[in-house]
Amino acid sequence: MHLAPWLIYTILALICFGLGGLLQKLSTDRVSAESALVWLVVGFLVLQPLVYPGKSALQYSTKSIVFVLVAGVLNALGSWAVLAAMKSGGKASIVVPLTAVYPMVVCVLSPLLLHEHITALQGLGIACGMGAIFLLAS
Amino acid sequence: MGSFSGTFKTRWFWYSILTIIGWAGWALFLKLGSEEIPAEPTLFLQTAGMIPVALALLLNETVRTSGDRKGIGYSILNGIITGAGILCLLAAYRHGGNTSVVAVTTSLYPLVTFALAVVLLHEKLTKTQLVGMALATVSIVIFSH
Repeated sequence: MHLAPWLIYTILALICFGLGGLLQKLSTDRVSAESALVWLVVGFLVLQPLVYPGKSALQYSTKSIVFVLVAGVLNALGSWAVLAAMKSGGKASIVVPLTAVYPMVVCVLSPLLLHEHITALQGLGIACGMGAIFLLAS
Repeated sequence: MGSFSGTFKTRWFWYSILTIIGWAGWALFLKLGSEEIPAEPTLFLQTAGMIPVALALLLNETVRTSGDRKGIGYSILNGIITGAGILCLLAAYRHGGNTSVVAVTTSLYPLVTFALAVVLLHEKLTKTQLVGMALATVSIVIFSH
């Protein structure tokens, strides 16, 4: 059986992200959420040489660079919060799908911030996301 | 409804809501920034943006006193594996993967976590929570398009 390289990479990404959720729980069973986040960032830093852009990073506009840096800060805060949720007794099997509905908030905010429109399908996605939060919390 | 109001009072639920808000902001700013900056430099810069938060958390006493080697190992592995997942995602796009197919497939990662948590951590979900997970999956698939 021959699998296309893109499909192999897609499946690998799926497994990595799924395994990440399990490791969040395993780590916070043993260390604080704050400690887990600090060491998670260390793990990210290990891979930095693979994506080091060199001087080309300076060719982009300051505005875009600031946006991405702020994204990094918010990613870290969100990651700390998910670790804190697991440290506080949340099950991995509930917290991971619950927090994965965050694009729903993006969709709600997009018309205000990015002047995008919500389609009927996205409206259905928001309804499902809200229902998921309610049911997973029950 | 009673069990929901109970969850409403738990810390883990509100931390999860905080995660949703934080990651929504992350996705919005990433979308704005990545309109100009390609994927790899974006990953490099956003990791750089995580460092100040990690440094601030170093002030927390629990970081200095949490010396459990296994816990630290799991955390580092989590960072490496998540980062590797992002690199695989970028490689999938670079090798001609259909954007929608790749995005939808990788967005299903909660199902992998769920399966691993049930098998390895022996976690159990109620029928209502299983329906909730199915709804979350539908929502995730819709938004990953």
